[in-house]
Amino acid sequence: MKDYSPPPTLRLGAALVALALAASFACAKKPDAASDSPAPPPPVHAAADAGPVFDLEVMAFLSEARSLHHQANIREDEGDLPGAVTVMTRLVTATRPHEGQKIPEIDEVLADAWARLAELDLKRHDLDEAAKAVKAGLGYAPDATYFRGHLLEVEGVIEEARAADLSDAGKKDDAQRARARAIALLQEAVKVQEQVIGRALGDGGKR
Amino acid sequence: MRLANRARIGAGLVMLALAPSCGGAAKSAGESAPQSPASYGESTKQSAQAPQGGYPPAGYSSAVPDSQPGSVAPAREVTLGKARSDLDVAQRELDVAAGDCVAACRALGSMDRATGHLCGLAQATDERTRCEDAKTKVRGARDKVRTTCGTCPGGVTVDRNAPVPSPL
Repeated sequence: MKDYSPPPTLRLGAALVALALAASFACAKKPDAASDSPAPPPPVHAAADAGPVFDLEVMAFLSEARSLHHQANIREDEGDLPGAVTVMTRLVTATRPHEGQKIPEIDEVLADAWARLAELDLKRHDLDEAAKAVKAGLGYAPDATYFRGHLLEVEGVIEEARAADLSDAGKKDDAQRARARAIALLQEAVKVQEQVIGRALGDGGKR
Repeated sequence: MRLANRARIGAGLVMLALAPSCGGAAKSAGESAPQSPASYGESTKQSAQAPQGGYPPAGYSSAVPDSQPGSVAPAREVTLGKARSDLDVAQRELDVAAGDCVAACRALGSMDRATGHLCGLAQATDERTRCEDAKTKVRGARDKVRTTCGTCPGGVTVDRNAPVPSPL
């Protein structure tokens, strides 16, 4: 379950955005401009149809997210789970750029970070904190994306662990309910990821 | 990965297209980059006659008088249109190759793990059925990913006959 590099789409996206930024800078100065002073860099939009702002602030946030994931990797490799949780908490509590604006790349990073926090809590067997983290992450992933599917997967595993705990405690009915929740969540995760694959490979998602 | 080369080609085309799109108007056509290998010769031949190079802004064709002697605008426009079409195709391939296979592989990994947990929990008959349904979805997804992407990194198998969850 340990695959904690930031979403690869972000790396591609960042590269493309960097390319677009470079092109924008190159194009910003018109040949017939009266002044030689460079025009301020315009914000780059994620899509031609007036999509959300994707500028240097956003890129800085994404870079910071990547750095924090690396730091958490190091802590986790050292067996320092509380340290890894602390690092990831910094990410989910960081000031997000353009507060109030919908920026999918930021939401993806936060959904992914909450999923990782949930997994770390699960490793520490803090099921309640793990469940809270999943709920927080799902708030950033309302649509059928990998991030939502992954959060549902993690939530299913949390409920699976809860069912085992309850069973061990002799609470058979509660255990059964937790098990049923786990199965439903895992089934939903499979369904979401199937949609993601269909959409990504263009055979059902109608891109 | 089979699409990697196409991705590189697509990236190259994107770069080539971006370069002349900015400052091309100030340069001669002979300096403009070819848009695709197929159009290279045609583009080069035209460039010797064309007074201006680079991609014109939108609506360029309507601004060129048809009666201009020796005008190469129509042929040039065709070439440019084809180049743009090639660029669109390359961009789509690039998107699929570089981004979507990564996304698909990641989703397949999650799907595989979720199914493993689900089947581990299944006891009653209907739960076993749900487990088998999930396994069928995983195998179908493996086929799709293998067909388009070839392989997946990180130990995610695309072999439909491999166990679910795949052994890591």
